[in-house]
Amino acid sequence: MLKEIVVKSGKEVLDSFFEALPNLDNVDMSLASLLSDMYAEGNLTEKNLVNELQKLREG
Amino acid sequence: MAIKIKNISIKGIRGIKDTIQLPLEGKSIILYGDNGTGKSSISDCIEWLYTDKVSHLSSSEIDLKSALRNSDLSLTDVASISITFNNPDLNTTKSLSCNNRGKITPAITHSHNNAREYFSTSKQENLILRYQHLRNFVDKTKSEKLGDFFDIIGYSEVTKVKDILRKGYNSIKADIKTKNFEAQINTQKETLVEKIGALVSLEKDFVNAINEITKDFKLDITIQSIHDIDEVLSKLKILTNTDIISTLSYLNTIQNTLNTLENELNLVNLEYSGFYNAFISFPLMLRA
Repeated sequence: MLKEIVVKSGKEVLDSFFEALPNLDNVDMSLASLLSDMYAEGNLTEKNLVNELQKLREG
Repeated sequence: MAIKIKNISIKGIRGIKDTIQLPLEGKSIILYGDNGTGKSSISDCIEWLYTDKVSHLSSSEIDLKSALRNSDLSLTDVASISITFNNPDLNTTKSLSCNNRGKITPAITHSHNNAREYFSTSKQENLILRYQHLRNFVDKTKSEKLGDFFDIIGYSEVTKVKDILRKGYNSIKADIKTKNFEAQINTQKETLVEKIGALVSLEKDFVNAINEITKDFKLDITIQSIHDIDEVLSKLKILTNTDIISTLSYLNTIQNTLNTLENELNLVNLEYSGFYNAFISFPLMLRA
């Protein structure tokens, strides 16, 4: 009998990535939180990211 | 539970005039046959049901509804595709009805709201892979093939987010280059050499150097990271201020005492001058 292979959808891959991001070695916590929050709130666009990175550097 | 198709029923769409049934019962299917035997009609129906379009019929010159509805149907016949799933909530029928004036109207019926959500989500996935796509795929570059794979397996959102993150990275990289951060870092290193007498590039080296400098102050704190520096500075500031205040108070007391002493000396001097003058003039007074 063939074993069913479960393949993650694109959204599941992204969810896992952003969930694991703060726990990766040598990752800046403020940057990881920024990216995870932007993804969770659906604000992760190129323009928003560049603006938020700018704020993070100046803050 | 994985979503599986139990049955597909099609009537009056593309080359299929009479009803056909495909009782898949959750299994996959391969359709093979000579040209014109109806393979594409079936895939067109499924593509239309899931995406509301048929890619090879998307042209301004083609009226999709007319192209989909079998031309041999009578006006009262309803063209339709119905799919039943292992989860009955997802069962859906999409149809094309024709009125007396020949106007074709599409309609979709879901057995449950879950079906609406399922079909809406499915629109984001690439469900159809045609021979034409495969033929073009062979001629593409590696990166284009990777992009196509991502589209086929529904990873286009991953590609999109990856592009956004890459652009963010490039923006930081360009900013570093424009603002000449390398030169600024070197300047800061020179300042550190001047102030703490050590060439440091890593936080660890900086922390060690500061611990070495502050050990004689007996601050009861060992710096572990750069975040502890503020605490050390505030402790040093408190100690320095206490010393200064104590010294200033001592100096003030001395100054006040010296001022009082000076006044008293002036008074003594004045009194003594009067006494001296009287003493000098006393023999003269006696002679007289």
